[in-house]
Amino acid sequence: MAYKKPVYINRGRKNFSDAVPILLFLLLAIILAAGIALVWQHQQEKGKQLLAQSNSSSSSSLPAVIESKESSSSSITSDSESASSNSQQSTESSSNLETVVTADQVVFGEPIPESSRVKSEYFDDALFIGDSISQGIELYQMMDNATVLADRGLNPQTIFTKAVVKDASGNEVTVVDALKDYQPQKVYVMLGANGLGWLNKDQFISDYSRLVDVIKQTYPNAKIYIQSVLPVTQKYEDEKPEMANSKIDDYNAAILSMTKDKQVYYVNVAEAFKDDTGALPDDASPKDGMHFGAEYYQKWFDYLKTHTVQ
Amino acid sequence: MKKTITLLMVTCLLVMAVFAGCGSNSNDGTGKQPATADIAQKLLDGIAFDDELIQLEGDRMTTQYDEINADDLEEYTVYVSSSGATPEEVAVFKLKEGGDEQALEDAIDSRVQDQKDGFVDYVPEEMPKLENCAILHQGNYYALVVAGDSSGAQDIFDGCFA
Repeated sequence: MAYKKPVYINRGRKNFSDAVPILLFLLLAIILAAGIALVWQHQQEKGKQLLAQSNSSSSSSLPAVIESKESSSSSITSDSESASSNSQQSTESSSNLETVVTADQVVFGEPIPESSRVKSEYFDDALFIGDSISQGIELYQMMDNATVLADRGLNPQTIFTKAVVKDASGNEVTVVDALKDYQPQKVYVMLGANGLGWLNKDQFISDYSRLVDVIKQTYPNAKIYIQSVLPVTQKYEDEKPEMANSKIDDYNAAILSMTKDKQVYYVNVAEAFKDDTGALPDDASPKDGMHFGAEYYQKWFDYLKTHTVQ
Repeated sequence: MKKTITLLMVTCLLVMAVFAGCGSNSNDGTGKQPATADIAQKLLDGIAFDDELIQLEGDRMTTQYDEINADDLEEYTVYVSSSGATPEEVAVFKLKEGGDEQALEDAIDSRVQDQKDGFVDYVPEEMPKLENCAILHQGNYYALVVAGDSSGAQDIFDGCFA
């Protein structure tokens, strides 16, 4: 008897049952794909939010410093090593002294001696008055608790005449006129980068003395620190002999004498900037020989924190 | 049947690929939304600067841009001269949805004018950088570039959104 091959008859129901696993697999694949997509989108949104928060919030991290391509590499240099935002962790010129200099120990007419390092909070009630060099303080987080009244080009004369700052009402006024809106307990003044080159010494000191008188009158209980004029690079001196470092030193000696007459403090910040020749190092100010960047602002802040009167 | 099953499985894989691909695209329908930090970095890398630039955040930024409303900004990245010797700058702002575009434009213009007022007598040789600065705009993004030659800034900026 011949073997008869079994014949399968399509009854419909059997194909449907075959398709069910496939349909289930398809449904599962769609659900899985949708789930992956939703999770992926959620993670991207979360990442964007975190990035936005880190950019817009005032973080405690250091400002990133981009060095010019002409002077060094073009890569971003995180400034945590060269200009610490936390003065307590700074490894720059830190004072190991435990000495606290009190008012009765200060000899007017002599630079304030080195003292134990103060915390950044010391400058919460400090007012800085000056020119573009002081204006740069506003860029650095380390001193952003201090108040700055400064503008480019100010000298001991134009500080009385040039309306460059805003008073409490938003009107543009002179630095001297703006003093009344503040109540500092410490006042730091640095002038001379402008004016020293063309004002004779007597006129320079006369104008500076007038400013000191106004500050003392406005803030009778504040500690007033007059800062020495900072050095310039040798190259700057060669191009502008009227700003020679020897002349700067001469004017600083006159300022020191003025502080004795006025019974205010003299803080010799210039010594933190000088090289062995008495000039500002070339690499401190490659651009113009006078203005400096993050590293030397750090030196300045370090000096101020280690030369205070309590 | 085997062919059918194979065809269906390939279809599933394609469907999954399409869904996964949708997850990598912007979900707001307004195109690419790069981070301002990335835009700023590309501008810094693509343009020559004489000066050392420092990044500003928080109050330090609003002190320099004294007319800006920081609450209107979703994010920003600002670099300025660390010494004040030059007006060189890279500033990139991203306005929030519904933010005041005109106010931000005015704040940027005011910043440039303030810098011009400060440098015109102080360092007049730096004035060309301000006179020829690039103020850029794409959607809710605004940027200011002040450099010796900012002519390439537009292409770099536009490239961030391509």
